[in-house]
Order: sequence, then structure tokens, then C-alpha cells
Amino acid sequence: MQNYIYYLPIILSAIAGLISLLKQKGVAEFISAISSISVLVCSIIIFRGENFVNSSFYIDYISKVMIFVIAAIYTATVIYSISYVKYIDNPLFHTNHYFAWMNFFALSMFFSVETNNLGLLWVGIEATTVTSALLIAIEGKKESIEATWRYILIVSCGLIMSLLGTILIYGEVHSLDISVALNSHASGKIVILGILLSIVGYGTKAGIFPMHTWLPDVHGKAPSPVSAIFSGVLLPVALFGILRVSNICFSHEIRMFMFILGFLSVAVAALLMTVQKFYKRLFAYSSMENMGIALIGFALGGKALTGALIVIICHAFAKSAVFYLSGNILIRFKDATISGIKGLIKKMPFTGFCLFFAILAATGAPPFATFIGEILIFSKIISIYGWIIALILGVFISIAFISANYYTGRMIFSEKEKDVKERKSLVNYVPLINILMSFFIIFLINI
Amino acid sequence: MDFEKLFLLFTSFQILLVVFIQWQVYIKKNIITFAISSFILAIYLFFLGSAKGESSLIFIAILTIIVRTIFIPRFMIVKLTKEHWRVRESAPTMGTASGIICSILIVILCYIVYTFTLYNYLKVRAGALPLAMILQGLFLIISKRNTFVQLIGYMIMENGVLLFGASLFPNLPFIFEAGIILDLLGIVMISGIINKLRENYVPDTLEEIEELKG
Repeated sequence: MQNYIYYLPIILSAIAGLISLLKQKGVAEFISAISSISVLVCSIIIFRGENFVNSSFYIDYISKVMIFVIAAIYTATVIYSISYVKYIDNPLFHTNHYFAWMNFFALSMFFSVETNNLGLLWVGIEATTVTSALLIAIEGKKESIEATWRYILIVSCGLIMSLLGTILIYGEVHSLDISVALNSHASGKIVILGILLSIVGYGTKAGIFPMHTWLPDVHGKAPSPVSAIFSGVLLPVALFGILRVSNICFSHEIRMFMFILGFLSVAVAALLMTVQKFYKRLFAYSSMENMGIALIGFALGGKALTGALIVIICHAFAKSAVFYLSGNILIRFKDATISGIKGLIKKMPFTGFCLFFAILAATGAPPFATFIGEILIFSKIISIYGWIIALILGVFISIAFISANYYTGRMIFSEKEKDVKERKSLVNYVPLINILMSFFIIFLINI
Repeated sequence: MDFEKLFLLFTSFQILLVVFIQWQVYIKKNIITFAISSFILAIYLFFLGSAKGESSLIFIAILTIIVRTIFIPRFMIVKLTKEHWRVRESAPTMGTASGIICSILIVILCYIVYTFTLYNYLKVRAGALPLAMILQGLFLIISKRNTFVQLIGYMIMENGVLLFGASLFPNLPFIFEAGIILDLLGIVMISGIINKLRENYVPDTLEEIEELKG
């Protein structure tokens, strides 16, 4: 395979972003769709190819998985957005800018997962903040503007810790190349401190406790396609940063630190899910819970790492579908509260039906692949920490599962009050495809 | 040349400027103080780069002057919507005197902790001061409500990291440091837009927004 294939996701999304700045009607939508589909094809070619390392790229199996997941959710989000942006009343800026930022956002994520440089990994993840901030604020409401500011401030301050951590890692490894750092066998106190600081920083971006506070605000107030791409791929890209730095020195302290943060994220998210009034915030906390589970998988390694990858892939498809569907609901009901949505299955049967399965997939119900991922992680927890820790974690995951499905079930199956109808659009099938992917993906890729 | 003494001198001055920003209520004066702080940082980087023969540090010094001393402060002043000499911190979360005391205490505490921990590995006693600057910047963010001051707090944190990295590891790759500055530029520009919108839509004395609770 030629090396240029690795440049294509970055170049295509950059070109699409630049062309989207033109204000001709329909150009931004068209070029973004073409670019995202082309990138998806490239990502499949990359996935089927060999691992590749040179001075610019570090493409291992995990990078390939991340490139594919980003490309898939980027494509689904662009296609869904084409219909969705028409429903945004008085957007803060012209919708072609929405597509431009969406393409630049995808670019920064591709750059982060492909680079062979710890410093540029940080630059890429910080760049996702710059490129995504205005996407959150597009609706121009005071809540979304406030959520955007909180996002910029909290995430940027958190990432400063990663920056400091990266510098400390450099201080001991004497190189920022990921390929060099991974083979350096560095294990001094400075490199461990650097890795711990990096975990805190990237954890902020991944919505890991206790730096998660921006996450429900942003997911709750961003337009639904933006919430979908945030939840589906931005959070995993930040977790990918944690995985990269932790592999430099996978010591007991670092593993324990990651495990505790993951465990607390699951616990806090599960408890907060029980008291939610707004459905998008509920789904946001569900994402936090999933990221916590994935972080536990990263901490334990081995088959738990495989489990974490399965969780990340399936969560990306399932949760993005959940957010697309909540966009459909919000457009029709004009109500963000759980109590305000009733009788979804009768009024919007397609959306209600899809949401029922999407939330099951996102929360780890069998037969969806998330369940298999969680089982792999649990078996590793039992073998390392024993039954009691696994049981406590299981209780929190059950609380999260029951909360998400109870509230969603109430929205879907309660008696109808308002008279609203399903919107007729082909893009309605995007969430359905994503739900099917969250089931079949495990058979399509060889993890 | 005794680099450690030079480092101590420059970072101590930076710390004093942060304390001044903590004390100051007028936003424009805070922005100008930040510009002065960045200019001093650039001068230090220039000295360091010249003395150690690291051309990348000289480039970073030039970039720091262009971006942090000229462009960002100018951009922020333009983005202040009201008459900019009147804009002031209206509702800090902490009084001015207690804020200054806390900021100084952070420096002392950081120095003590550093001396007993990281100093054993890094062997540069003044290395505590950039780390203290990072924490002072963080404290500035949580002790003030005005978004421009919070943004200055973030940039002080970044200046602290740059000072730490350049002094202790002067051969850090240029592309990394240039990337940091570019990112900072992006963050400030986006924040400027959001802050302007926030000034119009969201008052400083904001009641808790129902949809952003819990």
C-alpha cells in the first residue's frame, strides 16, 4: 500500500473544510458528504492494510480502529446534519460554516490518531477544542453559549496538565516520537509523573471523573449531530491519548490510577443518571459511564483492552444513533425534558422503535457487542481484583442501565399527549444503520 | 552566565505580575499586564536561546512577541464590547485581599512541595516557580467570573508551561512549541467570539441555568 493513503483522511477533510467556507448554496453539504464518504473508504483500506510507522505516522491496530470509527461517525453525522441544520432557528452563523467546522473537527481527530509524535498528539487533541467550540454554540441560545465557554475553559485547563506531562515525559525519554517512547522502557519517577498528568489532562477531554463537568452541559445543549460526534468519537479520541501515553510505562501505579478514575467515572455517572430531567443530559452521563468502562479496560490490558475497544466501537455507533434520534424528538416536540416526551412509539413509531434498540445497544444489553466488550472487561477484573470489586462495579453499571432504559422507556411507551408526526426524510435511516452496525460490527472486524 | 539565577529572576518577576493581575479589577489593565508578562517571557527565551545556541528558542521568542504580546492582547481589547476602560470584574468569587493572599500562599506551598519532591530529580530549585505560575493561573480562573480574566488565567498557565519546558528542557522540538502557540491562538480567537456573545447574552451575575444543572 502506498503511504499517501494515510494522508488522505487529513487532506480530504481539510479540502472539504476549505471549500465549505464558500457561501454557494448546497456546496458545503455536497462536498462534506463526498469527503466523508471518501474518507470512510480510505479508512476501510487502511484498516485492511498492514501497520505502518515512519517519522510522521504511527499506525498500529488501535489507530486503524480509531480511524475507521472516526470516519464512520463523521460520515453519518455529515449526512444527518444536511437535514438537521434546516431546523436550527436563527443559527449564529451561516450553515456552510457549520460544515466547515465539522470537517476541520474531523481533520483534527484524524491527525491526533495518526501522528507519531506525543507533542503533536497533544496539539491535535487541543485543536479539537478549537474546531468544535463554535459547533456547540450554533443555536445561539444563552445555555449553549454558556456550555461552550465552560467547555473551552475546563477542557483547555485540563489539557495544560497533559502538556506539562508531555514535557516531563520528554525530559526522561529525550524524544517525542511515539515509536521511540514506546520502546524506551522508561520507568523513572519523572516519566510516571508525566504520564499521570497526561492521563488527568486527556481524561478531562474524555469526560472522566472528576473533570467531567463540561460533558453533560455540552452534550445537552449542542445540536444533536454535534452531540453525536462528540459522544461517539471525540471522547474515544481523548481516551486514545491516555492509551498512547500509558503504554510508555505501563506500571502498577499508572494502571491503578486509571482503574480508579474509570471506576469512579462509572459510579458517579450511574448515580447522576438516576436524577436526570433532560434526556440529552441523561445520554451524556451514559457516555461518561461508557468511557469509564473503556478506561478500566485500558487499565487492565490483555483481553480487557480488547473489550474496551469493542465498547468504544459499539458505543460510537449506538450512542451517535441515540443522539440523532434525540434530535428528531427535539425537532418535533420542541421539549428537552424527559417528562415532556410521551407516547413516542405511537406518534413517531420509527424514532421510538430505533431509540428503544439504540439505548439498549449503548447501555450494554445483549446481544449487542457492547455487552461482549463488558463481559471481557469483567472477566479480567474478576481475575485481577476478585468478585467483590467486580460486583460493586456491576451494581453501578446496572443502575446506569436501568436509569437509561427506564427514562427512555417512559418516553417511548407512555400515553401520548401532544400531536406530533414523524418527519419524512431519508436521513432518518442513518440512526437505524448505526444501530445495526453496533450489532454486526463485531462480525465485520477482526478484533 | 548563571542560568539558574537568570531563570529565578525572570520567573519571580512573572509571579509578581500574576499577583498584580489577581489584584487588578479593570480588565484592560489586566490585558496590558499580561502583554508585559509575555514580553518578558519572550526576552528570557531570546537570552536563553542565544546563550545555549538553540535557534528554536529564538523563533519561539519571536512567535511569543507576535502572538502573546501583540496580537492576543490587541484582539482581546477589540473584543471588549463596552467602553474598554470601564470594563471591570463585577462579581469575583473571592475578595481582592483574600485572592492575593491565596495566590502568594500557592507560590509558597508549591515551592515547599517541589523542594521535597521534583527537585530531587530535576535539580533546578527555581523550577518550582513556573509550576506555581500554572497554579496561580488556575486560581485566577476560579476566583474571577469575568471571562476575559479567566482567559488571561488560562494563558498564564500556558506561559508557565512554556517557561518550565524551555528552561528545563531547552531542546524541546520546535514543531511542538510552535503547535502550542498556534493552538493558543485558536483558543483565544474562539474564546473572543464566545466571550463577546456571552457578554451580550449571559450576564456575569448569572443565575444557575436550569438546563445546565445536575
